[in-house]
Amino acid sequence: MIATTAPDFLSAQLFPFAMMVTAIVLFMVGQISRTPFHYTFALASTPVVAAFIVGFGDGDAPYVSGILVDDISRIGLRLLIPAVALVSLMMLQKPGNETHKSSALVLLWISCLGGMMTLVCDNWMMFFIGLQCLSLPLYGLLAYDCNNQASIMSSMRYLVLSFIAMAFMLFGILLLYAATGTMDIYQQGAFILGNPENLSSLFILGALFVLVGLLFKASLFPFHIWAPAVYQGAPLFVIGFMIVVVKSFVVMFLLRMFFSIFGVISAINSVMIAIAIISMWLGNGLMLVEKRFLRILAFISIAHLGYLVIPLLSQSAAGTLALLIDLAAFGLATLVALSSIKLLNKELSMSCTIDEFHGLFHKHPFRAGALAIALLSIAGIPLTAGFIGKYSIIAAGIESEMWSLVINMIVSSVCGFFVIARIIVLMLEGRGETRKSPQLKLIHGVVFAAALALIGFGTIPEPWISWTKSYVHDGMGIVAADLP
Amino acid sequence: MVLVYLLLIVFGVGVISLCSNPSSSMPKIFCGIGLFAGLILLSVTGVEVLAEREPLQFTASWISTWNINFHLAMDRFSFAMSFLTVVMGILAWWIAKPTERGNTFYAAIAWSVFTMLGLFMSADVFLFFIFWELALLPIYWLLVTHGGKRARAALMRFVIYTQLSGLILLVAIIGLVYTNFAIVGSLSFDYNTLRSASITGGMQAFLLAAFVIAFLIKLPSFPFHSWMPDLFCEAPISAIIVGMLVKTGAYGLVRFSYDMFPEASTEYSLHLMFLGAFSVLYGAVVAYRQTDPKRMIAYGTMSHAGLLLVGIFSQAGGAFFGVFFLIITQALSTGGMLMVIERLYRHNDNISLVEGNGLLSRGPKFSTVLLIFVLAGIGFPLFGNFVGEWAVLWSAFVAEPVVAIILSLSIVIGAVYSLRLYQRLCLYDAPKSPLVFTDLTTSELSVYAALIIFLVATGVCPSLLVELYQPSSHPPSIASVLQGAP
Repeated sequence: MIATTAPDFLSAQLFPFAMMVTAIVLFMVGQISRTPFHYTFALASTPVVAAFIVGFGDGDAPYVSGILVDDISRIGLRLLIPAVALVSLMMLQKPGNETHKSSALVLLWISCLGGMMTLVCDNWMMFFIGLQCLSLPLYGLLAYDCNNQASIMSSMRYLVLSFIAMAFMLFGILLLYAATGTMDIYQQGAFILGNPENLSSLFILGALFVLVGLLFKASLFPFHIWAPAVYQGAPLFVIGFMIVVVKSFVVMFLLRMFFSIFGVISAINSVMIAIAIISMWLGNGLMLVEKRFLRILAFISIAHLGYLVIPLLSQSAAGTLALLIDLAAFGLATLVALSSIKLLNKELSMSCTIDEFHGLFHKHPFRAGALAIALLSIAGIPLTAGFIGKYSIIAAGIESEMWSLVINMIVSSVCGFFVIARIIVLMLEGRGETRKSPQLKLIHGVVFAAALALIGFGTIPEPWISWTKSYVHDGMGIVAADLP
Repeated sequence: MVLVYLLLIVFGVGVISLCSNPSSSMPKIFCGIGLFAGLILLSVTGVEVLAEREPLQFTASWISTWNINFHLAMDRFSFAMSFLTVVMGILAWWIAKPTERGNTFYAAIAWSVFTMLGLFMSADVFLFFIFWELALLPIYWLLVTHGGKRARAALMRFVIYTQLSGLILLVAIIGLVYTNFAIVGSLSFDYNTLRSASITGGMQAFLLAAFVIAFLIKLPSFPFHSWMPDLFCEAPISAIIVGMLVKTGAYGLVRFSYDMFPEASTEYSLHLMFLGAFSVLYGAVVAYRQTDPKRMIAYGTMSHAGLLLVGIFSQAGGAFFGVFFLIITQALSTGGMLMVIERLYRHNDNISLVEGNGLLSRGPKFSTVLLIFVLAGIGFPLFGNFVGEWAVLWSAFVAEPVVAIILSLSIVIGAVYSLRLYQRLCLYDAPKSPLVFTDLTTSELSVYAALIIFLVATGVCPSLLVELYQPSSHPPSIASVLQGAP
């Protein structure tokens, strides 16, 4: 059944974990021994880069207890380590003392480590530990601007609500254990797939409770209310981390869940369709009355996750491809948008209302241009990466004949586009303002390159699509036959 | 390959205009060079296109995972539309006098010509969609940076309508491609491949409905027309560009109706003809009630677009011929009218048609030119518009006489509002009129004269354009038109 050989420390599956732990330890050692920050950071980044390059290793590897690496984990790692790197870069640009920044960096990397655990877990306990490892540092990170009351409040809000969601999830996990007698996720799936009459109400209840916990983390209706409130006060890099990294880890785990446990329960299918439609409309509709940009970003993210339910439910290779492409496009666009807001922070106040965007394009053409490109990509204008993502989702939806979801996605995204168009129009308006002279730093170069990449990948998407497609193949779900 | 050069020239000129010094005249010069170079290149390809039997093509692999290619093709209809686009672009370039930031202005003009050229030349439906969406962006930009006083409201309405149209078009395209995939087994976005797919009745009706709705929003046809009058009023001279945008809706309808979905189009042709006729009537009646010249012309354009709708969906042989003629001559006559009236708007904000403005005595040349364009727009027999309208009326009568009766009534009302425009602007002495106005200069007069000569020439001798006219499956000879072949 399950191999019980002791894990080889250098085996491919554990390599990224080992590297991340090494990076964190090196960084902490460097801080304690008071070596200069830049050296510590350079030294500690090397294992992270190595983790990215080597990844989880290709091809068949010996099964290590507790870890099951498949192609989704591999591409998840390759997509999310650069995102964490960009977020770290954003954080490091903040003014402030270095002890504060280094603590935040350690927290970020621990969170990333937790996320990586959720990518490869095959045991519910492993998943729960990974999810907690992913979430707990967020409470600290959200309170990064500790002199700002809004920041602390968003941390408290997230803490309370997240603990409630975690309680639901833990209870669901225990119910699933009671229903099936095993903690192994895939064996639980096989338990139901093998004999459908084993589907007891205990199992369904457990699955629903786990779904509640996951939906909270992904901020889908009806567990979306925390998102605007928390993002309003949070530091920008934490917003980026939560929207891009945390939600992506959760969505990839949801993908596996829909291929195994959730996919067999038809009630969950209908529930998810309703949740998706309501999330799309809530996200796009509530944006219309909103004046603060960070809350608008929260609603965009809620609506976007509604769109992502379409490939989740389609359970096909095209759906998985669409999910991965759209996650990458949306992640990059959100990070570029947030970084440009950060670069523009002299013009914008803490609350960052839309009216402050007036005439930004004339004062800082390149930074406002990067923001505009990112917003257009989020809206799905052709020749941006976001359009390729939206297109692949619509194509996957039409291929699986989920007409109601697709039509709702299309009509609600018109509302979303209206809001984004209003922002861009505000930035373009205003005539004859003076241009301030730029001071170029590394972060400027990275942000502009990323914005250009959004257009580049939108115009010539073939390398990106074929690279993603190499990780996707038919029959991606874990079925009973796959288990050793 | 020459098609790619054409696109690159116009696009590149836009980039150069954007980067040049706004206060000098460099943007205007560069834009002009690019547009004229494009015109010359297009004429050269035109000679080749008219000589060959096969359309000119260019293919390059783009997204091979989904079998999407960068496929450009120019057949005669595409060539006519492209030529018209560049000519309208040159007219817009010529008449424009942006007061500030000329670099963005001329860049936007160049880029809208670029995107529309790409739209008319694309033979791959994905590429068609990309250009469809891109065609809107320069107009959005123009409106924001150089628009009138209520530009933002007009822009938001325009954005909502056109984005909805784009997304419906996206669903229609994906539906078409995947239906073809289910039938044939291989994914293809190529227009010719999709045209030869045999799609069953129900799916055909659904896809036709989706395509038609998307194009009707752009046309604009009756229920979806409210974006147009505000846009006409707030857009800087680019009302001419908007005129071209309208033609993209007509182009889409021509390409994606009978050629793609023959049975469904035949089944719904009557409904769409009635919708078109009602649109003509509605536009004409509402235009009569307007007090602002630009709004009147806007509703007039909507009325004319309804004629195009009737022509496209009536099945008699003369119909496509009429549509083709109407597209070209309406664009030029409406464009001419707008350019002439632009003189008034340059120095005045509020031009009322309630009382007479008596411009005949102050500007006889202006009034004469305006009268000629008005007559052309009505469909007065000397002009090319008459040939097109007559052909459409004929085919509408052959298909369904009631539609033809409604159309005739509407054409009469069209005459009423157009002549009222002329009457209130030029006749009726108004010595105390506050309008600031100078008469046409000789150079302007010569350009208008060229337009008028072209309109009269096509009106008197339609066979000049017959060579050009050939959408995919309809014969070009005028003899078959006169025989009223169905």
